[in-house]
Amino acid sequence: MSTATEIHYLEDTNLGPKAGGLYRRQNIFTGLAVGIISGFIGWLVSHALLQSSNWGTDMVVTVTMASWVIGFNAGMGTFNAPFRWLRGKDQTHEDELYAAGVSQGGWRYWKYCTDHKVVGTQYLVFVMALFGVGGALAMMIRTQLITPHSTFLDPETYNAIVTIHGMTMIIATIIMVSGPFANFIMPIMIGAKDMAFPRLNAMSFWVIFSAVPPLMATFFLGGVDAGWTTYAPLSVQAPAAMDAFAICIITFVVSVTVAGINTVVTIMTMRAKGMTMGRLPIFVWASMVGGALGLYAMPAFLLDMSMMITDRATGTSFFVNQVGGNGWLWENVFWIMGHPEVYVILIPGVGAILEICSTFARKPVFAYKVAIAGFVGIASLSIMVWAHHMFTTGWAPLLAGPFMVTTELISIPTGIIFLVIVGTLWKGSIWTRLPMYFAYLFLWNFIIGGVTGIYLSDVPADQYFHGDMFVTAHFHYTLLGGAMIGATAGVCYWFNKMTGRMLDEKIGKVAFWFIAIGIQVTYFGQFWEGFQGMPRRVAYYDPIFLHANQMSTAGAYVLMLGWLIFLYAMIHSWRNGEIAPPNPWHARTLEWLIPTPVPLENFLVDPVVTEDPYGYGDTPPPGQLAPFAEPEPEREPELVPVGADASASDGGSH
Amino acid sequence: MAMTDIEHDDHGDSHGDDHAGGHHETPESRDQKERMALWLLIAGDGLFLVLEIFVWFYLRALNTNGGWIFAKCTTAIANAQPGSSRNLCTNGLANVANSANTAITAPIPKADPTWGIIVAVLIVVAALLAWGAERASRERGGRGAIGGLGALFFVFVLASIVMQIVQFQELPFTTVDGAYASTYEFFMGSTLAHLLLVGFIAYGLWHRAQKNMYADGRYYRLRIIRIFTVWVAVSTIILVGVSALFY
Repeated sequence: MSTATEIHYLEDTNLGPKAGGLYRRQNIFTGLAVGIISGFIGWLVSHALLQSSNWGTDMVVTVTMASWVIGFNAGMGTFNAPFRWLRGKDQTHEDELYAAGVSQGGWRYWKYCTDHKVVGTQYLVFVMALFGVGGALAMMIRTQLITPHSTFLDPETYNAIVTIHGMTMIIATIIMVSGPFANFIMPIMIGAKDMAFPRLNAMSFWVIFSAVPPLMATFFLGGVDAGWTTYAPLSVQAPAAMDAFAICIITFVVSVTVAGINTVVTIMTMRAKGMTMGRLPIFVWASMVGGALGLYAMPAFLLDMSMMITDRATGTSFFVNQVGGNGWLWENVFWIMGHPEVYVILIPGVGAILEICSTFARKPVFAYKVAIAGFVGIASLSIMVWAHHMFTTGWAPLLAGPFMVTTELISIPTGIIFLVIVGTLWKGSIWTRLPMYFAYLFLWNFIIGGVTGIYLSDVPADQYFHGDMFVTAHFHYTLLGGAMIGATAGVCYWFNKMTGRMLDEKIGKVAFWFIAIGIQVTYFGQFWEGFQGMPRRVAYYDPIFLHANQMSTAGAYVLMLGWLIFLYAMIHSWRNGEIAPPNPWHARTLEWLIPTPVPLENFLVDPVVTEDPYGYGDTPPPGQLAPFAEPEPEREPELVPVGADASASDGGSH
Repeated sequence: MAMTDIEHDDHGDSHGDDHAGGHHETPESRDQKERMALWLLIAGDGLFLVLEIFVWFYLRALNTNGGWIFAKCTTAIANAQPGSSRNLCTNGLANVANSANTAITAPIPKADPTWGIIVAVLIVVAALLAWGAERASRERGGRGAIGGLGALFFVFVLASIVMQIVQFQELPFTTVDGAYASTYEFFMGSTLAHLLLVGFIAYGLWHRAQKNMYADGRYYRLRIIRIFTVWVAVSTIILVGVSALFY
């Protein structure tokens, strides 16, 4: 019996008319409708009962936004399963298949769908939309700064835009790799049929989706003018928009926590037979370390924002010095979250870069175990460095030295990771396709972002640089030039597997050059501003900073153009691109050994892994092309149908 | 990476709650995943608890402006933030001072720890009952035993929730009375949130036990509930202990 006749695609399953239960009637429109109604009821009730209290407006905004979040998720179907569990009416297998998107076509992308590939795609589009919003706000900031006393924005609006640009980008960058790739690609890489908790996976997406409207609502509630770090007491004194901001963050924390748990559990418990920890693709390790670090960081964010809300809406005194609170408390708890969060963003992006470098250099990841130790080292040290953000605040001066040392120590594992990337490329037969372009750009930016970070970890140097544009340039080199370019390389690499189409490389390369040049011009301009002493977050500035600002703004427009071209390349390719073969890069990790588009549950038979993922050059798999050859369709891997004896794979009966 | 053949997919578990994402899983596999997820959740929650305690000792040690145990409100404080969106003194001390010039000298009293101890005892008993339900399911698989223990479990959790709400009403201060009062009430709010979650789970356990859904060796579900309830009991004891012992 041939393998082909045995294959039964779950997508073709005919479900009963009642399969899915309530899920059948739920989608993004019911979510929006229930969310808006719930928010309105929350506003109505809180306005009637709480408006007259001392903190009426803050209470009303808090209740309204929380009601929106709960209502939206109820309308989407987030709470269906818990309440069915409560009633003792568990979902049937057909319900689960429906929830996984069976027989729903493209409509499943607008629903609470549990298929990890749908969730990954939803994340990809959502992240792009967030970058669009954050990028537009960034362009407004740079346009304001093109002249010293521009009237494009008033100072209050400018500050509000700076805050929301920052937080939008932080949210987007935290999920830009862990959302699309750790959802879509990672389970396939380890040979799993799905994430460990598919419903929680869908929940993590729709919860974070519901967090964004409160963030955008801040513009209509007076704006948050405290910067993305929302230091107390600025945030305590901010308009009611701060309450919506805090609800956004608390909701975001729930999503990231759930996603982090799901990622770690999936990797630890769902690996295919033979997929030992030593055979895990490096991207999987990076996703696990990033997910685990997120679990460490997020509770601090939750605590800080919860205390902030109670300070504002119930009159507690956590952060107000005059009544027993302390502003340093906010900073301490915030940065206990804040610095690990940088690595939650960065590490998965680095993992993607290593994956790409190995594939296109046709070499194993250099010093694989050292790379893993580097990830773990970065994560471990990152929880011991938070006070370097507070060197100039006057908090615990005696601790400045120890925190300077721990911060500088972190450059050791970071440097090791850099060397691992270089070592992987070293003397490789490099096949320079679009993902490699971005990998090179990542290396360039990463070294600049890293080295300038050492200046900021140094107490005397930080006394000068703190709070000026040097810091802004540093973290943009790290997060945009490093992590975001890593994610972009990931898009170029996995786009074909996710969409079934090849990304247009010609347009992509045009975009690449605009992006590469735009980053250097924009952020070198900001380094220049910083060296001159220009403070961050100011709408007006002294004319001595004019040329540096003009340089930075010009670079920003080039950068914007680059991202727009890249966006066009994605949309154009998604709609009209060349049909992708299963393994266009001739890579060896599992996601490339299954068909494109990937079927539901990924593997038609459960895979058994027998080699490490990076055995390039030793014994190329049958049909593997030489590194420099143009790609051509690779033959399908030999698979044996479910239930068959391995020995019968060569045509034996079943 | 070479991917050779096959695993025989013969799990075939037919219970509704053993499906996820459209594919079958063994109870052992579900158990392993859910326990690991729970321990990760507890780790995150534990960090939240540690940070809460950090907040307590940090504010207590700094005692900024003498505000840990709040005692007074001066004109200087009232005018400290000219132009701010709200007058911190008169708003923050609405219950004790209507005028910024009013000097309040009596410190707020310490909260009576009895209520907190009662809440802790109730949730500890509830955790023991959850443990008993798990043992009953593991050893006997009997519907009656689990159902009865489940009902008691739910009742005790409900009682702890009620007691926690009563404690809020019995406090000799409100949220505005300085850092001690703020942190104390935050601890209680945090405990209440946990208790409400356990209440949801306890009701589900009881209800499902009535439907005989924990029979046939499915005690691992109860183990998950027991572990979480024990954790909530431990965290409640810690918070009650800290707030009672370190005024």
